[in-house]
Amino acid sequence: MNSSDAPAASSPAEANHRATVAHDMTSNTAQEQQLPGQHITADEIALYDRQIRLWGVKAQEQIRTANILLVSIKALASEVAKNLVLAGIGSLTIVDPEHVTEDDLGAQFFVTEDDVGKNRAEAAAPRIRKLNPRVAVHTHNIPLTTQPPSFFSSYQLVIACDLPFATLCAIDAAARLAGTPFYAGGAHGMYGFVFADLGAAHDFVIERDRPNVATRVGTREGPTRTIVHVASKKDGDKVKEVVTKRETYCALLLANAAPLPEAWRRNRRKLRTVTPLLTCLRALWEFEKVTTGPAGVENGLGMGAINPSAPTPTTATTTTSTAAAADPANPTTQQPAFHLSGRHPSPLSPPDLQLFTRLATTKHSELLLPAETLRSAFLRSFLQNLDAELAPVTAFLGGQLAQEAINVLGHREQPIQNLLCFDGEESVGMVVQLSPFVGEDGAGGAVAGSIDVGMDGMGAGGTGKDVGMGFGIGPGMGAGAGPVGMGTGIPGLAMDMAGGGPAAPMAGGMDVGMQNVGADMGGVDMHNMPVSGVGGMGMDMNMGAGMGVGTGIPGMAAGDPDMQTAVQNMDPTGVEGMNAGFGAGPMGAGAGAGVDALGLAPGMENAASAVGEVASATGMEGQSVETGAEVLPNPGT
Amino acid sequence: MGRDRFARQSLGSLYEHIKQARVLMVGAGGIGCELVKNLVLTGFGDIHVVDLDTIDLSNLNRQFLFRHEHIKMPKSIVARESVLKFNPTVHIEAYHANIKDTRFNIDWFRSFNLVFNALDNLDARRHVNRMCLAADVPLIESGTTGFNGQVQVIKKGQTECYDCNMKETPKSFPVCTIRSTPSQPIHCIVWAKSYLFTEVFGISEEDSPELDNSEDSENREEINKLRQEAKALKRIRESLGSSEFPRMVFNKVFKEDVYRLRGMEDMWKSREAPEPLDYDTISGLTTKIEPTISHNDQVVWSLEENFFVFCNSIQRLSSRLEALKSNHSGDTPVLSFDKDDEDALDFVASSANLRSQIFGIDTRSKFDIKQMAGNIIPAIATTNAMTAGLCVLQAFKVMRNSLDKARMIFLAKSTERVITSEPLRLPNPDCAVCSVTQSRLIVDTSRATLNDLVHDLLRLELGYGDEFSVNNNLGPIYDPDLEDNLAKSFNDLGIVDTSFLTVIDEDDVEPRVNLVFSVANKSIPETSKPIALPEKLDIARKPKQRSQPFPLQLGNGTNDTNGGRKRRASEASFDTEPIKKRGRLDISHPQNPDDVIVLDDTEGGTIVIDD
Repeated sequence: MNSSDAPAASSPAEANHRATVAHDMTSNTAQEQQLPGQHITADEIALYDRQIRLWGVKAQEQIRTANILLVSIKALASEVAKNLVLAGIGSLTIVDPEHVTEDDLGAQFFVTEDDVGKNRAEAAAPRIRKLNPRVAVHTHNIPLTTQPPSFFSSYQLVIACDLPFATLCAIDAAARLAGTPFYAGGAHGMYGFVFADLGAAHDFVIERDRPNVATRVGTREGPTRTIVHVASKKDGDKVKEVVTKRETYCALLLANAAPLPEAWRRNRRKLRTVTPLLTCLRALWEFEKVTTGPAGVENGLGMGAINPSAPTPTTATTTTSTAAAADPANPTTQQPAFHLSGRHPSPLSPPDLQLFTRLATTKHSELLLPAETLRSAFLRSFLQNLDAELAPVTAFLGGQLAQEAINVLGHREQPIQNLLCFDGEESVGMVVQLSPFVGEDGAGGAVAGSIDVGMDGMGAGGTGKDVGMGFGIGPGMGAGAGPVGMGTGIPGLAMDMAGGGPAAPMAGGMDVGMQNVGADMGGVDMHNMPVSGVGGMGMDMNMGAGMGVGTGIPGMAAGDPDMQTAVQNMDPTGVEGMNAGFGAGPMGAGAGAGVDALGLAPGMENAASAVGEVASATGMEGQSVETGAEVLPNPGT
Repeated sequence: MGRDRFARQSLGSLYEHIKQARVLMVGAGGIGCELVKNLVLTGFGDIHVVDLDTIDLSNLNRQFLFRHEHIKMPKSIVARESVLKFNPTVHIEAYHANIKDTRFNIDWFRSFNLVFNALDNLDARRHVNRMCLAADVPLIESGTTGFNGQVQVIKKGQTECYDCNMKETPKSFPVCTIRSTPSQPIHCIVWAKSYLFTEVFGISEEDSPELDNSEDSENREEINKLRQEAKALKRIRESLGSSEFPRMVFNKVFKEDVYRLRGMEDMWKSREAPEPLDYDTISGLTTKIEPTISHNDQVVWSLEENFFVFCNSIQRLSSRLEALKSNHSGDTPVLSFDKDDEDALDFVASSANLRSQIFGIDTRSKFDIKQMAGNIIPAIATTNAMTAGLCVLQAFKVMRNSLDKARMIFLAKSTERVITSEPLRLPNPDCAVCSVTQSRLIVDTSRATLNDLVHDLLRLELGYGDEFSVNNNLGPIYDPDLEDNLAKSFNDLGIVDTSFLTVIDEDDVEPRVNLVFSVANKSIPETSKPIALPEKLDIARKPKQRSQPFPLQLGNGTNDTNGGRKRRASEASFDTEPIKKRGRLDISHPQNPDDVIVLDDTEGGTIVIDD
């Protein structure tokens, strides 16, 4: 159970330390006893006094039981870790396969000179623990993409910082499948971003003075936000309104392709205020993609920092994660050269600058932003700051990200929807809503491209009941409408059962250019639920994701559980088949990679056999691996 | 490669300035811990940290340089030790001291390139503001409360200073509301803390400097009666320590005084009359109460529970006072209210709730009452981290000499942004602190008299007429009707090194702008005058037409769901409704460093003072 935890503790002394901490936590003072009617202790209330006064005991209760996964820990994530641990979360699990470097000492305050060369997560963990002995801090350097979705579902929140776009997308997809809210963050010197994907429905409560006109349940506050509950509460002689709102989020991959909100696109003045940082981030992510070519190398899990200036990846060590996991005693064998295939432009390379400028210009006009707001001085400044870590900026972003996390756990306050762009030069912190969802008129949002309506060959025919908008992702990123079939699955087989708009087969497009590796998004469809009776867009967003890793390593493909429900509603006979998963397309054709579909829906019983069957059915060199093998221990333990 | 690689990469030539910079940070609390971390990591070469406070348990949820084992240790010293590990190449000096200490004089302030305020009180903020203006050193001012935070750059002559706009004064309540006609929980809490607690255990009302019991024609009769009530309570205090004491106090304040109030029928025509409580009736109902009830601070206690805690805490406090008396000679010892003193808080919470019960007001949990009685401001790590980050980003602009790019920044979240900012504003020409002529005044404080200043320097040398006043921080020490001090020496008047004196010209025709002297004490040979100006002064005349207050420049984006600046601005204006001057209880305790004051400046951005 805890074999994968073992590599984290570099010495027995450290393991002992953890045991001591656990002991301390249970034997404090007399006041540590829980008071009747509450779980939180009097000591905790005294310690967390100043924050409980802000968000209340109830929210603190939710915070204190939360297990949070932090993927990669550099300067920004150090700030996040500090803030979360101080706030008193239940546990923090840090995954980072990299080693501490001299450069890390600039803005990462949990590591010192003595730590250079050590695993970054393991080096930071002891100092993070000291901030608050009540919080359990774990470290892992297990490849993430080999983890079954249940790995992600044991966390209440997943936060990934300073990683390549493709890696962020893969983690986002996995978290989404597990139903776990996801945040991404990144810092580039004076600049940075925070992205939120809190799933198909994130509910939060706000309290406000009761307005003159009563707030109505069902009111839509824009394309993604709806009021789902309204209550009132007496506060002295004032009456307060307690409003529950629901936000619908989309995955990072989709956000990166989505246009600006329609209201902005129609307002030229508004467009002029949009920070060019948005353009540059998109251009950077595109740069990563286009610099991934045949020279790119599989990295085992798409983890790891981008090497800013060295385009040449090191040897293609194909250390499969299976092998690594079998050797927990020697963590170093688990650390292949994690150079992701993509890279960042070097400010010293004219071809890089040329390419980046071209990409930025394209992205800027795709966003319909006025050309004059993308100045060369800004591009230069952005490139100059790439991959740098500056304490005041990471402090700001880390504060913002951690506060978002805390609010999400407590279901309080409006979270960002969905991309925060921070420019420390201009003191701008702009939240841009990048979402494929459209307003009530049901129009717009389409990105030019091909219509990808396709089903994996395994799917049985559709019944044609459901007409939906398919938003497939293929080489050209397409959106289109098409009649879509209702699938009927064959029990026990991993099937592509696109209930609404089916996933596009994935090779190429989302395969971020990594040959055998990477994040493959199965596609997204938004059901036009027949119940509504009109052409309005349903709120249901389904996504399939496929991730293939290495040769013969199981990938994952799954549909959003919500989709299962949707399908269930329409055709109860398809239930079992639907459970087997959705959205896996064959990918990496010719590279000998097999994509194995793993059912992710709750209640899935025969995932492993499904994997095998699909692999053989598609005639690929798939190899199924028991999914239980690498399940991480429950972070709470 | 290495520790400073990224700072060089991002900051370019500015990084060399940063390495050479000598900066002062005043306050090592919520913002301070975050700020000094940022300064050290960014590579500021010489950092000086001043804080007079020690570490408390309730700091640990956000002041991440401190841990449990540091409780009661000086913040500045521990902060220095913790933060040196982040970057051993910088020099940090820690002072466990009050920034108002005379050793931190103008010359000392002048030795810094930049000063950061990370303070929790108005008084110290104002002091540093003045010192920075006098020393002409740029100041980065900051504050947080809950989710909100604010950063302001202050540079003499170029921007607004901290005092260019009015700060909200702490709330106060009319005495009669507190003593006779409470209508909200806070009224009962103030009564319990500032009246009952001090009458029973502390300095009695008459001696308390906080209470202004001045009367006017309308309330004279009532005030007299209240005075008699207080005297009667004082007599009961003589029985302190006896087993009858809780009963006597209870029946006095919750029964007899309430009956008397009820008798004033006019008062209850438009309000519900209070219902007295009786000790013996309630005491029969308390047998089932758990003695640990006072630890349960999250729930609202029942009448019986409040009664139980009242009796229990009054006994605890009585025994403490008795013990103090037995090891004490001289003055009678007293207890003073401290929100972190469990006995005192139990007493105040239960008394406030009993009184609320009498007047039909909602009762509150001990946790909530602590917040109101102790003026506790919510404070979290994340807001402090963001605010401190923004402070350093503004410092970069100051150090690059591009003040035009510096902004006044507010953390105020809306759906479209997480911060709002506005350009720095010009100094308020009517500001009594910065729109003045400033000068140092070199004084031999042991020899110089006030007359040397008033007559020799101001009248003869600078040409002042008859109508002007000289003021220190407490008020006038000289004006045409106040000549008693003229013969006194500066020392006798308490004017020392680092003191400020303001000369206000009250001439009818073309008065001069205020003249602010910062006193520099030097010993001057007997042969020379004991008072001198370091350089010739040219004092401007006040503009004829006093300009209007600054127009508000609200940030333009408040499409918010959680309440951004605009809403707070309107709320703030409710808080600043005109208040009567007399007969008010001031619930703030400026002498208590734990007390925190919230200020709303004119445009509604809240500056807060984190402890």
